[in-house]
Amino acid sequence: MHGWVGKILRVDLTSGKISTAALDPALARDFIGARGLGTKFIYDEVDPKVDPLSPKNKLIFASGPMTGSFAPSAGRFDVVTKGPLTDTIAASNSGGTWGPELKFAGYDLLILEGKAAKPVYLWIQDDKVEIRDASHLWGKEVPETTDLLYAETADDAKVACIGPAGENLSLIAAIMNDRHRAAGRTGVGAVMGSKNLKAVAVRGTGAVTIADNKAFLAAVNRASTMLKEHPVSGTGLRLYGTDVLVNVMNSVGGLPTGNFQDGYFPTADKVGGETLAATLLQRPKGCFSCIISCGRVTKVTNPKYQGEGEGPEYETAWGFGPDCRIDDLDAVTKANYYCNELGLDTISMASTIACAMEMFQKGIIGPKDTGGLDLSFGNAEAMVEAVRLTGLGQGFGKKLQLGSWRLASLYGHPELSMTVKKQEMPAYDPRAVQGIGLHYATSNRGGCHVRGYTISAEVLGVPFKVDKDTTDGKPALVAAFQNLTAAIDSSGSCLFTSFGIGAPEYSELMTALTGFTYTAEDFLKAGERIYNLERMFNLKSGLTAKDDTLPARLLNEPLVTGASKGSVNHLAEMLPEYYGLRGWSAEGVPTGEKLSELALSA
Amino acid sequence: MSMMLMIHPDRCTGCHSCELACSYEHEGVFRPKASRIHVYTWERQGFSVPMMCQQCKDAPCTTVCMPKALTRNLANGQIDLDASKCIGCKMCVQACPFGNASWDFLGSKILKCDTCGGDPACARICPTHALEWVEDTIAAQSRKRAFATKLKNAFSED
Amino acid sequence: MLWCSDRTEDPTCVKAAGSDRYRVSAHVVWLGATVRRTFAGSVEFVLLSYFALLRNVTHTAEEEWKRPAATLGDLLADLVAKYGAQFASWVMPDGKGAGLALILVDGHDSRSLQGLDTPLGPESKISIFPPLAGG
Repeated sequence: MHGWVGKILRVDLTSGKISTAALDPALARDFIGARGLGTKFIYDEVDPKVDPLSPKNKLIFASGPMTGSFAPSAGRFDVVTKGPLTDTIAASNSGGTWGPELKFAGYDLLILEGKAAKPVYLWIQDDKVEIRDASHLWGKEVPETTDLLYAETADDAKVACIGPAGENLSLIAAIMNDRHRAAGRTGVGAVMGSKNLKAVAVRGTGAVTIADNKAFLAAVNRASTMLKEHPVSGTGLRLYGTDVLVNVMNSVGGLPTGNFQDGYFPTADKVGGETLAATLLQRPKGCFSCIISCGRVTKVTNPKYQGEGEGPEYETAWGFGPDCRIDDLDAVTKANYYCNELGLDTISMASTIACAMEMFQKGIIGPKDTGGLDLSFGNAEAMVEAVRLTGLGQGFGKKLQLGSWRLASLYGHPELSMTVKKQEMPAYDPRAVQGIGLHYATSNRGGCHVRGYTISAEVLGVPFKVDKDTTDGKPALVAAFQNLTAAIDSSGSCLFTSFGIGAPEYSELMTALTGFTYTAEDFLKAGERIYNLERMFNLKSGLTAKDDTLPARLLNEPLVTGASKGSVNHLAEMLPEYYGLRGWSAEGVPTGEKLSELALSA
Repeated sequence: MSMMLMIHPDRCTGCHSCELACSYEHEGVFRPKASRIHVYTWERQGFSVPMMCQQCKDAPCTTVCMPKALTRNLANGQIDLDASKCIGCKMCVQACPFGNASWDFLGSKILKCDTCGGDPACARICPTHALEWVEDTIAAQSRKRAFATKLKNAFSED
Repeated sequence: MLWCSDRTEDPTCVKAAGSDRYRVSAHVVWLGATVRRTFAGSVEFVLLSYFALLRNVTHTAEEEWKRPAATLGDLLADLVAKYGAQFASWVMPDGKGAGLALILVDGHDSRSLQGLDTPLGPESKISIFPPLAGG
């Protein structure tokens, strides 16, 4: 095979059995890789009703066919499992250099089963695979774990690991790789912790091969030129990072503020990308084979929040900033460092704290509940401390680590949790932008922006502009973004390449690399297939159309200030049409006809 | 006049595109372990440095090479490796003070930068110009100017 | 605001392809807004805000524009005259609309209003963003 390396590594942590199997080319062709292929294996091998933290759940690390090649930004892999935060399928995407190393070691997928009797880590060196004792690493934070593993495996090994949060089974725990990169969402870190697996270290000396060298080089050159010439992928993201979005979203009145109580935060610029570039930024950072270089290497010298690392990204700056009514960039960045060091998803962490702050504001909880923490909106010190406690599972952190839905339910107010399917919504208020609300409601992993990023069209005008305040045409727009994203996520290329190239370019790259013919339609169809497979898993797990909704606040309480004040989200006007054009019943179930069209069985 | 590969670590984002271009150019596949250039990343500080053969004038590798597989090309000043003469003794790996010669066990050969015959693929692909193929007479100029600017800024507001 | 020379290695100086480096201070933005608040009520003007890469061309984050401009197109034509070709390429190539920039009039995308014909009021706030995206 080309692109794919054609092998699956399977490790049963209960018995210690390690085996390999060939990757079926037909499966690879239809589900591509990473998100799609990982989901197919979970769908076939894991009972959708399983307890995600039980040994019966499986944890898959999956690279894509492009991962490890010099296709644009081809460094991505997915962690796929049943997510403990949402009870949906969870495919968390990450960058850095770990994913390519798995390919060079000779594997497209690593499937982890069962549970080790005591803490272990996996050390993969090409075909030599060992399960090693990790009792000396258990309890350690991500940076220290990473450094210790370099010392005892190889200094050019790549390390993916959990921090204390994953060990404590926090439902918002992330899996970190390359020290600063995160497979963040849906609690995948807790699944790894539930298996007593501290880390996977990998070193590969092999190759990713190409079907048609000349055609691939030509396709890569074309795509790279398009990306370099586009102002977003060519310059903008390298200079300002994703955090540049703070001022845009605030200016259109869609920057969720104070736990989504409003959509405008007057001092948002203080945590925006321009400010970050002028103050804490040291230099940009790129993932494997990436020209976009959106990563932020930063340093905080203010002794109160001292630290260094990567970030904050837009979501992080929004969450620990305006969503908590905080405008102190040093504090926001420190919170970001804690999340990376302790292994937490920044979006869910921030939104959970914002939820706690609203409960504190309303007197639902007080200092006696929070262990003395003054969780008033705007209290940056308390916010940073709350992150630290959550990462360590101490004090009030023991409750925060469950995510906002379970936290708010504990105190009888689930309506104050800004989640969909129990996963925290990201940094775009659906009352200001209609289409993203439909995506939040229908995303296969709950509150998520990135897998149907209609903000691109609705606000930014990339690649084209639609009116953000109308519901017309949004069902089709959302479905199109969701399908294309599923295919890109499965290819191993970074989603940010889609700011400059489209389905024709991806399919050209896939064809030349793998030797299988993909037209643009084939590529999108594969994305639609993957999307429907995820939906099927979720329905079997027990989710229904009732769960395709938004918090009541966003449907009923208009925005108070800012450019979009007075608006609510009109989900009900979009959802039935969305089901219809997806080929789903009125209850949101893919019809038999749709499943056969996609060659999926019921 | 000859050319040299100038390294600007301050511009390197650690993307490893140079390693991929090098292995693609020489091996036709993506195999960073077969690359003649390697990038080292200090994760904590987010700093990366690419390293490759510096084509020394008085090259220790040529001194120790018994079959004379490694020789100095007088026309362009580079160190040429004639693989047909190489016996794989790896003395060059021992001798290079910078560690820029390495042994590829899979291909059974010495890996050493050959500037792709005067058009280095790594410099072509590098998205941030951290690698520049420049005339050796002006190679250091941009760095000299950058530091001269710091001195100027100490005295002048604009 | 401090200008950074072309070849400075200072990481806080953000360099855009082909133009000078520029260091933005958050304090400047605050100061501009404060000055405007202090003097508001005495003179009518349109408040312009520039973001990201655009600041490299305008060399400011905010600007009070006192020349009368009946429509957005009139205002942009004046700005193009002031800031030149790079600005024009993002904002109003060939004198027509549909540039790459995102232009908000009082928080509303000009493309959802009347485009270049959007009328401006005495205290309109115009925000201009170069093409940008993220996640």
